[in-house]
Amino acid sequence: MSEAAIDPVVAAAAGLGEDVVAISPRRLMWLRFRRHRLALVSGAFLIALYTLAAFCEFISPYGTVTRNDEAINAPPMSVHFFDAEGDFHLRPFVYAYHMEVDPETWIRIYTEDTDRKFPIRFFARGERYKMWSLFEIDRHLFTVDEDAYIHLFGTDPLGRDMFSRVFYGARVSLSIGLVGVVLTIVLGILLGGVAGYLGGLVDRAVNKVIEVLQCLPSLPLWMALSATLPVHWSPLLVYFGITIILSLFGWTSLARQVRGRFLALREEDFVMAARLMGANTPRVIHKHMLPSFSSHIIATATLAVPGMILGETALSFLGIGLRPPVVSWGVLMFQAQNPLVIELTPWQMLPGLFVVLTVMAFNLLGDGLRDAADPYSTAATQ
Amino acid sequence: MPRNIVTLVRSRGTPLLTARQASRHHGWMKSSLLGAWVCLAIGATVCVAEEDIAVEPSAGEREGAPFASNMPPEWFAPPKTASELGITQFSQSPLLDGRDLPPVADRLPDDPVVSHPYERIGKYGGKARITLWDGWQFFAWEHALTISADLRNVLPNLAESWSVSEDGRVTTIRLRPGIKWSDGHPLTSDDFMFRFNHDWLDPEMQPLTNVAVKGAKFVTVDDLTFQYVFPKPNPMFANYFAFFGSHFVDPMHFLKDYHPAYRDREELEALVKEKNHVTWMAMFNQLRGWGNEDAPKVPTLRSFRPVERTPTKLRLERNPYYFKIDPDGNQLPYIDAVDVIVVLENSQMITFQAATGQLDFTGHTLDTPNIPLLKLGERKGVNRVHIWRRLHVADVAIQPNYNFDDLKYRDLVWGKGERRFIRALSHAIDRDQMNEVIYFGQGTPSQVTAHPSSRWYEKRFSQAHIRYDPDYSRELLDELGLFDVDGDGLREYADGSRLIITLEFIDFETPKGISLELVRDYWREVGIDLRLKTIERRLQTERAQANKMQMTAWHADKVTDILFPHWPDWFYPHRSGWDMTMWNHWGRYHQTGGEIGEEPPELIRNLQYWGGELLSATDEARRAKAAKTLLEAHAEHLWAIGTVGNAPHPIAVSSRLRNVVPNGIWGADNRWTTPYHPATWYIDEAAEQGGEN
Amino acid sequence: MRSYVVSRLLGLIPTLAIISVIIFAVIQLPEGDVVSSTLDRLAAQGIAPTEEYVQNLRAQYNLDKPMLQQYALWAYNFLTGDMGYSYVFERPVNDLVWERLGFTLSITVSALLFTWIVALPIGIYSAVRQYSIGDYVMTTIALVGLATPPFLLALIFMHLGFEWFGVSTGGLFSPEFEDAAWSWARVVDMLAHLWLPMVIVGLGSAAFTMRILRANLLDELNKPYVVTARAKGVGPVKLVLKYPVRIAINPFISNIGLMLPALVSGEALVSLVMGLPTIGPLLLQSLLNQDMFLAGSLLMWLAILTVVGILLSDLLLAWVDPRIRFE
Repeated sequence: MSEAAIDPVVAAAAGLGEDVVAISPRRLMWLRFRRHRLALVSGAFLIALYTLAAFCEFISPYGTVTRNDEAINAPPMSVHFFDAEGDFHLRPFVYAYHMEVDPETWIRIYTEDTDRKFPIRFFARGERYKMWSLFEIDRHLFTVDEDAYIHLFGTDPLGRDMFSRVFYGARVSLSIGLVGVVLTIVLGILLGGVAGYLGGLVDRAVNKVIEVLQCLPSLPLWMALSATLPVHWSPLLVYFGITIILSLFGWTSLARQVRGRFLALREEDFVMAARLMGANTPRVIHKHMLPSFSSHIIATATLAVPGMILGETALSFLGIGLRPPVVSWGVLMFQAQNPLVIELTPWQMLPGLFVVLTVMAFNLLGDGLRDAADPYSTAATQ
Repeated sequence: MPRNIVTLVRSRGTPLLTARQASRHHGWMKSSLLGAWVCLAIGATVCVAEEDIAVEPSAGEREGAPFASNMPPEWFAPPKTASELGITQFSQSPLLDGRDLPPVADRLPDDPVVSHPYERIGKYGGKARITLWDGWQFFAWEHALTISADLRNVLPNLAESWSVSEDGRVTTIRLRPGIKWSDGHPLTSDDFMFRFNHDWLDPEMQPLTNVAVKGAKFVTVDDLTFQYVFPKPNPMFANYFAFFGSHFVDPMHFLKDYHPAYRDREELEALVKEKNHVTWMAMFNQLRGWGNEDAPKVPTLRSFRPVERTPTKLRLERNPYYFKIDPDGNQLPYIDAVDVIVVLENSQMITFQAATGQLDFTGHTLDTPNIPLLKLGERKGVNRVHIWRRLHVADVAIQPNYNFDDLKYRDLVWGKGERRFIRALSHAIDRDQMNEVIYFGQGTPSQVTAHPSSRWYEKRFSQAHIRYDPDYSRELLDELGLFDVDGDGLREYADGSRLIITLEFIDFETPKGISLELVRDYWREVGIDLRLKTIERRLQTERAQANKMQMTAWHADKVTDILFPHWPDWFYPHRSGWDMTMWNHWGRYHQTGGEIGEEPPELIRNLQYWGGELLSATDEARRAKAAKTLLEAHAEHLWAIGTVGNAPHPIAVSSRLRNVVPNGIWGADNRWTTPYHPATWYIDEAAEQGGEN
Repeated sequence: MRSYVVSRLLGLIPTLAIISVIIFAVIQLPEGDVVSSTLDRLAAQGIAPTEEYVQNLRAQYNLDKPMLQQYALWAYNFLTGDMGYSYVFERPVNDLVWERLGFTLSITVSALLFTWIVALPIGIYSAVRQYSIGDYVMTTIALVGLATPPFLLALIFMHLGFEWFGVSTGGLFSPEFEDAAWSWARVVDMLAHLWLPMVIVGLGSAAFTMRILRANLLDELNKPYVVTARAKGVGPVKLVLKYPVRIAINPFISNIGLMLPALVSGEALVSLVMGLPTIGPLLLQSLLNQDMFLAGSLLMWLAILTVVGILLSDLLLAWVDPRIRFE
């Protein structure tokens, strides 16, 4: 392939006036990655989302179980700067709900009660919570006064704040993706690496298992496994159970890649050299082989996260994944099972939108990383 | 806090009564004057104003829900027959015209039973589409005796009359002459004998004889007359017989070939092997079920008979030998065929199809929070949503397991008959808020007790320990020595170990999931850690039997006069079973006379004694004392914790299905729609074309 | 070619054996077994069965035998077409599976065809007209399609379907055709209902395939031989279709196999949401009720479906690309 010689990134790097030889692989990767504008944006979006999820207690005005019985199935509130009289207020505010049940349709109809204004306070005291189950705090990014309420994403059938639930749910759903992928990587590298390095019978066996697992439809097996999680398990155990189940079938593609790389690298001179110099197998793998394709692992892992998130969402949506009181995007979607929810309370589908955005971002980011990691691929989708 | 809520919603065409009017009517009903009913019916259909009626009733006014307020008076009295009404000409559906059948007059019994439609005489024809859950709304069982629409009386059905001997030991049933099974075979006493002697009393079918028929004998008097003779007085057996009617009759001429009493055992075993069954009992029971391939072969008495089982549905067709007619002499049912969809397992999908008018009748899988969703279809003119009332006195009744293996927990909930813990739990529940959040403010906060239609009902029973008072709850819990030791806001046992209650429940029929989520929050407020788990029915069966469930919840039905004396699940342990999660061991002990299970404490034994009295006492005063004792005991001890009762229940009817009563009572006690004569429902295709009507 | 087919067919045997072991292990996981739940049910009816009955029942299900023998019997029964009896549905598993397998198959296969029919032209178009508005629109749709969970798509499409067309969503036939004999009209009716699940199930994989085809084709289009051909004045249609598409399409065909598991998964999920009479809902019911014999059979069938599908796609690839056979 002649592409490497005319690689525009290298050319660009040269254009920067730096010594081409001096560019580290990491920097080279970054330079290539930077070309993918969408991947960059996606990366930024994901970092933002993960940060929000990490600080969801602070971001959210309420906890996951706080109910407001004045707002059952209430729509999102809009934030105002101008009041009903047209006067401008520097501090944004929301109006209280006014609710009426339509006697014909039994629909709770909410309108803004312009007589009751709830100014939004930033970094103010509100509901007490335990940050990361460690420190007890009562500051929130934004909140309203004690007898007021704010629901930027509306509420659910029990009057719980969707905004808070979406971000608490983000923590669970996003972390399942990460934890699952870490497990996947460990399994994949372990099995793929061993198979690729040792070759022979081990390689054949692992390869066969990979082949079999790859041709099994994952969802039905996930369903079967998660349905067998004992009912008396605590939410935390269920969480880990689901994560393990998801990664049990997810490690194969990574393992296959690792194996392929190992097979190729095994023949490389530097590996041979290391072995001749008396390095033992783990050391060869750890010191010499792994670093040379860690970028690929990162890219593949990134592309594996969406599968995990979608898996959790699907299982919870079916009622056999995570269960309340744990809040995840899938659990939140469980209450929006009826197509008519779109018509009646569309804001309860919001977790679905977050799933779509997150998965999309991971796909784009993964594409970008993969392209950046592989000098021979131009399979860039921008 | 209570907001202005519209209490009763006007259904199209047939306005409901306001709660105030209804309670007045309820008063009339008590006097049980037939004349009053006529007035009522006229009053309801003719002179009620059209505008929406908005009132804010007090709990007391809600009490007397409009039971059956504007139904035809005939629904409350023994049915008239053709000869009584002077009907001599009979007609049949055009569907049957070309068939090789005897004339309709010969297929009908000697003196056919007349069913009165809700609105008008219907038209023949059409094919209804429903799901398996609502299958037998159309495919209603025909019992020898049945339950009246007001849930108070037993009425004759297949039977012409029945009587109970003075001493209460003998119940004599006399069948109407000339009723035939769907294959034309006449219905006789033998069909009842077969079921009783070869199922109820068959040691292989029932290794453990049901308490209800222990020591009983079946006596055939003649072809149409038979008796159930009990060793002890059983004066209310007719009630049991009316409710479980389908369990007392079988098509003997067909089923005897599958029973070893009438067939060579080796031959039968060979058949069992061939058909891939475990035992002959399994094969026999399979034949009696109706959702399978064998169903079309088995004769039935119902208005429809299965004709085919396809992968996606069970097809029913009118039973040409059905024994009822309408007041014009037309053989019922009106509808020619029913498609019962058997593959719609997802209840949300059923709700969606009901809301979009794709199902003709949906009730069983629907729930109060679905109402606005279902009514979206009404706006588009594809369906009508009737708001019925569920008869459950508590839509969700929480049942602690008094026989749980963990003695610490058991001591807490049983409390040696000292009920502070359970009362604390009850007072912690904000039932008014539940009512607003889940039931649109239209239910009635209530404990488990008899249904308001019961002659033994007292308001104080339903309102016992019902006040929302979390401070009092906390006080009670403190008194019991349950304090939050580790500072997590949740109480521990007096010895400092963690107190976690796991409640497992089947989220079906009533809004159990959403209700219990609220309860979990309320209890957390007073420091009790409740964990919720939804499980499937079969799993519940397994776990309940194994006594593995700490706490469960179910809706409080079996609370009407007809049923609760015989099936007092809520009031004392009398049997064991998947739904007897409060006291399976005590129930087993009672059922087997102490052979298995666990001896209940004095207090419970006393209630079991009174339960027996309620069944066997022949004079009304003694019976009333027994019933009141049981109800009083529940009000005091709160065996189960009630929430909200009398809940609005949506019935989604396609725009073409007619004669469905707009304000029925929904529940097991009156067999859902059975008292409202589903055979008189008909399909008006013109209405479907025109949409609104 | 024949030796290739034979070797592939032989390769199927260990694959299915491993799968059956995995599935057998999965269905052994829950606590309790068929017998204990049957006994519980009898007890619920107030029936206390005799010891002999219990023994018989255990023997009936081979529960009195060691695990290895249980597996062997299970596998043997499956192979001989006796999948036992479902306690939840109270019907033989055979009947349950057969009446639903056809629908599963038709949705999956049609989704596969949809994937092809949609992805092929759009992929080519997007590659040839890279950075055009059409390309942007298509790649965006593909991105979103790839990221949307099938159940969410199902909910949205069902709502739209009802809102716009008033079509009876759910089910595969209009009421009047549900039990009619097979006829042209019934096929048309089925297609009229099939398109919705087909599109929903197929959208994700169509998006995936389209992206791959586009990328491959872009690779190809930049190669010197294409440039040469263009310089020589080969027409634009011929230029693309003659060589680059043919080369880019190979991984495309081999992708079918990889897509099948995803399609089967998606089908199960979508059928659950839409209440379609396929294996998916049956599987969920059997799992929730711990009817593990039924669940095992269903999982096995889904696996067979996928494995055979993959085999077919490999054979197709071998037929299209002779090099494969000699690898």
